[in-house]
Amino acid sequence: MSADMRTLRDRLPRLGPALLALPAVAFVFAFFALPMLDLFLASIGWPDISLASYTEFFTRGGYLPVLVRTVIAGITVTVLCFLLGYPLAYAINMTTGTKRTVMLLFVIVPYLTSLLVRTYAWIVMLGDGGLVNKTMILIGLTDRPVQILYTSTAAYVGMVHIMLPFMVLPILSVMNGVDKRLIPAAKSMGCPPFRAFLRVFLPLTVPGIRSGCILVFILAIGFYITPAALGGLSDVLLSELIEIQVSQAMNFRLAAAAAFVLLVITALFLLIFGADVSSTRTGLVGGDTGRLSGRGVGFRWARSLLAPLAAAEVMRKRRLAQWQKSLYRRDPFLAFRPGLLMTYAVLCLGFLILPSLVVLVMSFSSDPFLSFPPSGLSMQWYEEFFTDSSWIAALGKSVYVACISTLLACGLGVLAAYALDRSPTLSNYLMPLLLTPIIVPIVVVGVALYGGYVDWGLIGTDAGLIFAHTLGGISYIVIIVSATLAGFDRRLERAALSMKAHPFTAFRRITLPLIQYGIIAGAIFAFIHSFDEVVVATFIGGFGEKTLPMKMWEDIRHEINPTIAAVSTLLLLVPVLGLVGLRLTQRRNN
Amino acid sequence: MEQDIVALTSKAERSAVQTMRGAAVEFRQISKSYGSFEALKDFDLTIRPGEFLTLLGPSGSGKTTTLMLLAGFEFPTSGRVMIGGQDVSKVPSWRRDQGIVFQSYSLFPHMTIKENLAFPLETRGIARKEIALRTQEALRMVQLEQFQERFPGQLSGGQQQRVALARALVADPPLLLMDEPLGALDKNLREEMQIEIKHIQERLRLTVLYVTHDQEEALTMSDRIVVMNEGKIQQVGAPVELYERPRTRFVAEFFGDVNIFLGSVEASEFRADDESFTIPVCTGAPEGSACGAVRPEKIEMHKRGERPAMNDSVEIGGEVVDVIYLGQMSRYTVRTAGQDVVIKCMAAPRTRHFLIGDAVLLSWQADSFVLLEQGATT
Repeated sequence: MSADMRTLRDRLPRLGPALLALPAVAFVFAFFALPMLDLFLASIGWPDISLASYTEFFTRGGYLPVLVRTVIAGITVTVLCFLLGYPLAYAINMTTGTKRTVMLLFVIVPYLTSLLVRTYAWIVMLGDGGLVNKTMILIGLTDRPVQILYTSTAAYVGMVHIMLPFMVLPILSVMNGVDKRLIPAAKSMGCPPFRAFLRVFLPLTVPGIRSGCILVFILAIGFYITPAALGGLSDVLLSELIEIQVSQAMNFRLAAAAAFVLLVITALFLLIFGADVSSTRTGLVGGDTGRLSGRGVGFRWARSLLAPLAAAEVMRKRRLAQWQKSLYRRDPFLAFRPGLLMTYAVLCLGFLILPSLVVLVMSFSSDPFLSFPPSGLSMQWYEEFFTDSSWIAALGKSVYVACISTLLACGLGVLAAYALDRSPTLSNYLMPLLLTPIIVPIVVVGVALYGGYVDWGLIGTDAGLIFAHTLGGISYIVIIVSATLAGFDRRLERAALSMKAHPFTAFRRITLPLIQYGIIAGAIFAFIHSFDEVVVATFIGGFGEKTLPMKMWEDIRHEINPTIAAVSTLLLLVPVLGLVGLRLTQRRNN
Repeated sequence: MEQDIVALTSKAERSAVQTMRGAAVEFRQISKSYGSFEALKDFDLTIRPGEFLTLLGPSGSGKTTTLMLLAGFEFPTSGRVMIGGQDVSKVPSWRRDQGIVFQSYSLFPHMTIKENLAFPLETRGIARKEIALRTQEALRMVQLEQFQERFPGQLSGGQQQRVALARALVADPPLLLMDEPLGALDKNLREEMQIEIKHIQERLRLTVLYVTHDQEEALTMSDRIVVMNEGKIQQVGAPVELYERPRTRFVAEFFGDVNIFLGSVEASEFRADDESFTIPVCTGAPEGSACGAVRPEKIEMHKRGERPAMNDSVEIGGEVVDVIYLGQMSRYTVRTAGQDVVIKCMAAPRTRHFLIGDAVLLSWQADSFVLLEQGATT
């Protein structure tokens, strides 16, 4: 080995962190930050700087009410989700053993299920011949089907249904970290159960509530698919407005301005509630929670999105939980009415899982239209799916795009996560950047990428789609692998170095095998992210071949037939397979 | 220089030199700062080949920093680290040749015991056959042959500790670093391992740098002990030297109970500030205010009225105010005209017991009294 090579080999590890993060940062910068900048410039009419499009947005009739309606809808959905979700999380937290695992699955499976499938499920549920109307007629509430679908009620039901796991999981992960001995301690000081709950338990779960509310609100104000599919035409929200401005009115400047307004609201919300210095309370939660939330907005997000993994952790810890339970047999808060809480929890979980079940049944329908219950069973819709070349082509393209973008995201994301773990300073600056692709409302990402990718000729190409999906994939992998690395004992790597292992060897032989579970989990999330993604795909897909979600979205909007039920049922397998995969790697890891 | 010696010696002598495989270590004028915090200041230390040297000090004294510098995980801000005569100040850990036993053992959880032991050999590019041979040998050394297919998580703490030791030694490094390796073990196992480690080190003639905050452990195992405080060496010496002749109040107090007397030196005589006693000290001791130490077990205690030993040069009267039974011995607190004095007496069959309220006479010999250096009382 030449002397030069030697010094280079020696120096690389020391320069390491910055170098390892470089590819991911460059990628996100080029394929995300630049288009975002482009979008901003477009909104101010670069090169002549003017606020004309913003003035138009705020003064011309129709736009401001849309903005107000969007914010109100966001708040409403957030409040509803909190009211429904907190007791549910509490109920799950009070349960142990298999029951707890099942309850968690009922939250996690919908969380991982395709947005389109769940939206479609509500179309099936709420339609004139759907389960809801049929039930109401059966019990005599009404004698004719009531118009629910395409009203704002339907939009709210769908949105709450989709957002509920985003509220429950972060709250649950914080509740799980609250020392269960605190409530008995409070009671030992003469505090009645309900007061103990209000004074001790509730304040300690505030970080979880905040994470959940931020997550839900930001997703809700950027929500596009569900309100567009379920809501009435009078209920156009900002995201739909943006889409319409781009695809129909061809008014990119106005769309850009609207997108930035949405972005500013998001940023303001994060600033007010997210970066609220996490308040001193966070510290009280102690351990992981405190440490993670100390790292600012990005990491709180990380924790929220990580909730399913935290949940997996919960499953492993359940034996411990059981022991604690036996120590403090009486439920501290709802001992007087555990039945009521459980009934409520079961209803909530039913609300979460029922639509998927209805779709599953519907997919085997022998009827030519959507009617529940189906008059007979058949495999005709599956046949239709597997014989229709356009469906198969869409499926193939989705798998292809998801696989490539997952691989790309894995490569870039794992290196970046490793780098960020090495250097807290780097982490403080780069973590937020690497997470923005999933923090920014998806419709804004769509418009921005559309504007940027048009210039680069990426519209309608596989490469464009792959790049777009890799962005989110990187975010998920960085979050999950970072969390895994936080639990990795770096002294092991040190030990390897002390045995004359080159830093790269140490990484390959020691670190990699020990964090592979996190990488696989991240990859599963990245895959699902790409495989389900429809909004950005719709913006930048152009007239190219459609992905599966794009084709489903088109069909949902135009000709609603049970083929989609068959597709949806097949897609329900994705989260199930994902969870099984996670579980298997986890077991091997133990 | 070493080559010259080898060339001159006979065959038998040469093999003797080769078995002396421990490397010499030298720290020259080392400083290490983290931002504005100075972890080490002007640190000079030589470790002889084959020596068992212990760094002892409270947490934050710089002992771990010293180990990290020698391990190559940290690099000195200024000064040089030499191993076997070579400057390794800027050589990273993975290019040095040494074994390290970590406090947390740091066994690789995804590898079996055998694979753990093979790892340092694999990184050195040793042939597979020899790896198998040497791992077996190492396993035999720590008597864990029957556990070789297990994973670290399936072993007890003591067994894990032995694996960590075997793994640090399997590649025959000339230098072994140990960072509080016995901290996680219970007392009995710890004492057993202390002896085992000492035996292995003596047999292999290894140079060992051992870090601990446990004084007894340091006294039991070391050839020499370095007492550190606030990034500086307080005293270097053999265990008996440090215990019997501490140079500073810090060192005296660090090795267990000690009675400290404040006073002044005048004409080779120490006079306690409270006028309770005077005692001759070696000629040449600097005059002026001073402080001295007496270990509790060096003090004899008698019932008032009995004759103390003839040659004791100090006698103080007092009253027992506290008795603590420690098993082998008892610890008494005696209130004298000046200050409270702590005494430890063996519970030998003929020794009388003293009770609270007993009037007693304390006495000790002149050479039990150690005059401590001034200005280093921290």
